[in-house]
Amino acid sequence: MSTSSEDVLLLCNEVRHKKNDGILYLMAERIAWMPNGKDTFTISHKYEDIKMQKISPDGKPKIQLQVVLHNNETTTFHFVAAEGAKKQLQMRNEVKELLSQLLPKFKKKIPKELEAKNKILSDDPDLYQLYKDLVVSQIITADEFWTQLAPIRCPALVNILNISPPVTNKPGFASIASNHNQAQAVGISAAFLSDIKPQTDGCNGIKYNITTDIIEAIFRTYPAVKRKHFENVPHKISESEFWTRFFQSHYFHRDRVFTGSGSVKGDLFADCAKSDEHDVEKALRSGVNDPFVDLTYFDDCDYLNKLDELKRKDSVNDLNSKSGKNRDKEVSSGSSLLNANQALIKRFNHHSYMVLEASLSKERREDKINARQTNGNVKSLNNSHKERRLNESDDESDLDSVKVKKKRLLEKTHLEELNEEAQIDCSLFVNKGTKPLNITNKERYLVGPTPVTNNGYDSSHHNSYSHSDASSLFSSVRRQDAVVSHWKPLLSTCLTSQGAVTALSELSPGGALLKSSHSIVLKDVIPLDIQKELKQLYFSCNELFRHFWSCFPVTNEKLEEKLIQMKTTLERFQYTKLQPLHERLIKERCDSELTSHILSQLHIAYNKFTAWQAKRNTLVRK
Amino acid sequence: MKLNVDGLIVYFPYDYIYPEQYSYIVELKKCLDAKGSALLEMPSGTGKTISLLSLIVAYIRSKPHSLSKLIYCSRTVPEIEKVIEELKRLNEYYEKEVSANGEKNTFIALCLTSRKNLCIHPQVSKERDGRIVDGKCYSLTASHRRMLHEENPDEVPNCSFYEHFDAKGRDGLLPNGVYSIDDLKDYGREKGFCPYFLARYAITYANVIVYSYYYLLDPKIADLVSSELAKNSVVVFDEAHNIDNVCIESLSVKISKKTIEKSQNSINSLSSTIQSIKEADEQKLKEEYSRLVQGLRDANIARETDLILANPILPDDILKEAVPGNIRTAEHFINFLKRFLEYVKSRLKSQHVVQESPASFLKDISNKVCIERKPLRFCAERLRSLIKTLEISDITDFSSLTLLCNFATLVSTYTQGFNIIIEPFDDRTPNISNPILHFNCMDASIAIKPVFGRFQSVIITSGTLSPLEMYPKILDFHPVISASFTMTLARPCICPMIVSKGNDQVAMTSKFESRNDMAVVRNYGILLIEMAAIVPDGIVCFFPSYYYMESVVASWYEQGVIDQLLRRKLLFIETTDAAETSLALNNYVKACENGRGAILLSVARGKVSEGVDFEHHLGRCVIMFGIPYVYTQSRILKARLEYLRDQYQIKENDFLTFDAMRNAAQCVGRVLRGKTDYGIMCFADKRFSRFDKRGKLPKWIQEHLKDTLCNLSIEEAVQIARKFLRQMAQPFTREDQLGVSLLTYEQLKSEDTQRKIQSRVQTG
Repeated sequence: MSTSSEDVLLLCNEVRHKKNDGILYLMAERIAWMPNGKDTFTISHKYEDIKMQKISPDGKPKIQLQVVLHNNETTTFHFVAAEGAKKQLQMRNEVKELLSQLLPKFKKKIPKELEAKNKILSDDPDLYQLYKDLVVSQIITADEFWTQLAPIRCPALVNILNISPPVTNKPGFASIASNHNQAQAVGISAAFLSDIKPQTDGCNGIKYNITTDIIEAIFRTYPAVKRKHFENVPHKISESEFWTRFFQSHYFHRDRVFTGSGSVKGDLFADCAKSDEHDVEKALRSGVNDPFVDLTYFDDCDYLNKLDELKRKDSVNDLNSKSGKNRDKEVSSGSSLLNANQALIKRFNHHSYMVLEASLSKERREDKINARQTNGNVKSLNNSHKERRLNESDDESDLDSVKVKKKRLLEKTHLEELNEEAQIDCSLFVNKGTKPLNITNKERYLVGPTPVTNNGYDSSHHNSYSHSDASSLFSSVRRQDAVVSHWKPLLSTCLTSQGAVTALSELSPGGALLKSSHSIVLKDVIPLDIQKELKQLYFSCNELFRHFWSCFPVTNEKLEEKLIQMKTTLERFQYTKLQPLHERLIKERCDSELTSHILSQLHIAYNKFTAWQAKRNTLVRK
Repeated sequence: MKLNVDGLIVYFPYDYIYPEQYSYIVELKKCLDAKGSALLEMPSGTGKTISLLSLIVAYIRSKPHSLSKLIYCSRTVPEIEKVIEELKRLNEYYEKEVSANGEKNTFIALCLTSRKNLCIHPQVSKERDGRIVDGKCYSLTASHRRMLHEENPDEVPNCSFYEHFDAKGRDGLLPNGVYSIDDLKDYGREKGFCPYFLARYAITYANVIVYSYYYLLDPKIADLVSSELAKNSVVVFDEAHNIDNVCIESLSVKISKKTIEKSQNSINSLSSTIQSIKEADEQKLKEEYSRLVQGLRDANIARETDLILANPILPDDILKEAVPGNIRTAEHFINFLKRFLEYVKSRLKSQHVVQESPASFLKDISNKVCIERKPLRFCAERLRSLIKTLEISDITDFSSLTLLCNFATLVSTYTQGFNIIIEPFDDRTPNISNPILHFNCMDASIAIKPVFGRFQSVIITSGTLSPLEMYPKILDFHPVISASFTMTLARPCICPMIVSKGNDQVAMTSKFESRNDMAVVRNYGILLIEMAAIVPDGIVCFFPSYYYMESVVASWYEQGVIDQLLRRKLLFIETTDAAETSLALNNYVKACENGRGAILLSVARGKVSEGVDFEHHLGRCVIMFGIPYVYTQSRILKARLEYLRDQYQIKENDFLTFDAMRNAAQCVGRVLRGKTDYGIMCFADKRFSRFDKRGKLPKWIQEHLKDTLCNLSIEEAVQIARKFLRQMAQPFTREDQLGVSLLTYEQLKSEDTQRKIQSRVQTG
């Protein structure tokens, strides 16, 4: 191993590893250590293999630096410079600094992915079992496993795998956000903040687990936080530091009494609350377009002669200014507990408002921005023009509100059913400026659970299924779609409401059609461990079947190969997994019929295989 | 369709009619014939307004001599606009039918509302505070300003719309038609007239006027606006369940420390103005003096724009005499005011709560600062005259002083039915000094008496007026007809239920002793969570008070209830600030509309419970957390209860329960706005199941509140709600309703139906 080809960035003498003194080299692509008196590196780690570095706490007699690899191996270096602790410390810090600069550069996608996969497998025992059954036995490749199978089990995986390093990589966010918006924007769960459950880490600390989804939700609901993130990460503080501070901040825990200037020093989010308030204020100022919910519009009286002085004062204050001074006064006048409650209520309103805003379509927001920009342009052109423009827009909004009012009034006052020609027409609802729901995966809603019938698994069924290729399936969905979209309910030919109600009640538990049968439920008879095993078995077996059946129709060599391989796998599966269970069932005097279903499935598969083989043989002979 | 009601042809602008609408029309006709007053309760959403309008308009058209005008009073601006919209529909129908007969349709209807809503002046109309709009309008249109403008058109601005109206607007009548706020503004813009003064003028000759309660009930405004309305008019108070409170409010005054301070400033500025005028133009003050000697009334043939401050007392009580000598000159009056102010200030310094009658207040003031009753009575009038003489254009600053003078006039005019309470601090914050002088009217009949006395018929109607016998008592009148109409329904579209206990069998109640009990708060939370899980779209909740709501929300937050709610729906909460609440409401509507669903936490007696409708998906379920009793420790309330007991023999408890139940009914009634609508009404307090509470609910709710629904646990309630919602989700067409809750003309004529309709009316 020659060092000549690599630049040595840093060299540290007197570094001890496992009681041997030596020299530590930090090079362009790796960290290495050479014992004194030798000319080869006994230790050499590539940076990309290193997960992280750890240092001994200040004040410890031994000044150490530990390198943790992705496979969780560790290497510890002990700094033993003869000049004393100070020099040792200085050397250690130099190494640390350099490493902390170097490591992020080598952080590649793969290790992160591996880590994520590891975590998923350890979190999900079923998936792990499957992994063992299929990948380890080399039935499918690991790649296939992760791309085809795993996403079905846990949809979050898609994000985790596609967006590598989930937290540090900002372009990643951008791309995901834009993807979302190009398709249909997905709303945000109102409870996303409360779903971040803190976990205690055992020593007076709290750990928050956040995913990209949560981060995105936070950013979309609280643009102020996003701005902060943009400003501070990564040039000022690291990603994790940012989130730690977020969770510590008063902004997050706003139910606690806001102490004003006495808040934690350097609270990053101190002004976020203010900007939120500003948002609300802006919304308040722009007012509410619908006169039927605008409470400020309700009262009508001769204002100068109104006696109720106090009430008026409040409203005037509210209208004129919501400045901090005013707030402070209020704060000081009432008891602090009350204010905490009021702040809480304000916060809930704001939260719901933001969640709602966030799920509005992006186009609208863009429109707004455009409008603002054009306004800005006009402003720069000339003043009088601007004024006119503003007036115009005022008038426009006036007109708009009048229109809205007229429409609402009609809606409110018209007694539809009293009119002859009035028809309760579905198209009426469509025209109300609603947006059609755009469902990407319609089958999920159209295909319900089908009842298990006796012939559900016979071969003919399977044949038809496997032969129906994707295109015909697609066209049938399309056909269905067309039918659905042109469907007009023929309400008069429907069941009468009376009839429907009786049908419903009969179908409810306890009704005539749903008298619960009193036969013994299998669940209670079979011991838990067998249930579990059986479940496991079904799980793996079904996966194998899926691969088996997906080989049909066999069109190329590869599929043929796979089919044969699958068949042997199935056989192997039957002998190594199924047979033992079957025997065990007999031994424990349980219902040995339990495995018969899987067996029948297997037989169907074998039959299919032999049929195919026979057919192929005849073809080959010809 | 055209109905023949007892010989009167009523044009009804729809093809079908609800049975209860028909009986409502019949009863109303009887009342108009008898020229008396009536009390009519009919559920909201059954077309009360259109029945009322179509009958009265038909009556006016056929017998213009016995009834010439309809004065329709409603509570909020949106309500007013709704009435106008219905009138438009009716008018269109008339146009169609009458023009077919070759006759001409002459009919003018309009609404009147404040300057804030009607102003079209380019700058003034941009203001959002009504008081500022009024003040600015005055500074542009007061007669002295207009004179100044004539002398000096460049420096003193005026309002071209008013000038134009003053020059030409009174010559002709408005063209026939129905005028909403926007129509008035459009007409004003087109002709260059000021819509506000146009409307003020037009109400004298219009057939139908629609405006807010205050224009008739508040003596100050009524004097300005409604004094010239004809006697043979019919007055309708719609949504009148809280009418007694409006009456009381219009005659009550609250004076705080701030009022005193501001009045002090106003007096100072007045006296300095007087000084400067004295030096410049003494003649003016002398003129005023001689005018005051002559007497008030005849001297003040003032222009309409100057009459912006009015006398706070009822027209009958105003003395037709000259102003007493000791306040005739401006300086004397200012000194008089100063003395009075000092006296009130000294009274506010009291360290303990004082409660006394106006008589003892007058005696005390006469003993201590030698102020007699008579000059006090002229205070408001005298101030008005002074402000006019001094040509003060910016009257917004004088509101506090006006208030003080109004108080002086009121306290010296009325000795019966009023009292004075001075509280040095708020009971909830005993450490913070915040003295307030309350001058309270305790008798609602005082303010409404002139209305009953003056107009031929007064109709009091609402969706919730039960129990009917209470209103004649507290308003002191004798209705010829009082009737309650229930809703005929083809399917049970309301599901009232009383949830009295949690799943843990702990009683649910907002009783004062147990309302802060953790178990109660938690059970309320569980109830809401369970309901949020099964009810689609919007849920509205009402709490008895704002403070209770705050504390419940806080403990829900600690218990994690809020988190669970957020998982189901978005959460919006009413705040004390109207603008903020509007925003929350608007978002609530948005959230319901886009399918997310939302929960609105709100307060009974609040603005939301009074004025906002939650029709269809905006409110599928309403939950009443506790009985909305008024804050019973309030001294004002106690005094009123005592008065009611002594004067009208109404027991304290009866009144409190009545008041609580009408508010509860009002709240739950918000969700049902029509026959195709449906909703769950959940009363979460075990006390609701007692007969004295249940019996006070409106008949149309009681009908559906069976005994089996009166003592439910949360679980049972959820089961019932689930079943109900499933039934209601079935398609519902007109065919289902026809003949039961919807009648054609032919069906209406059959005697059988007539009898059935009659049997359903409950007259009280």
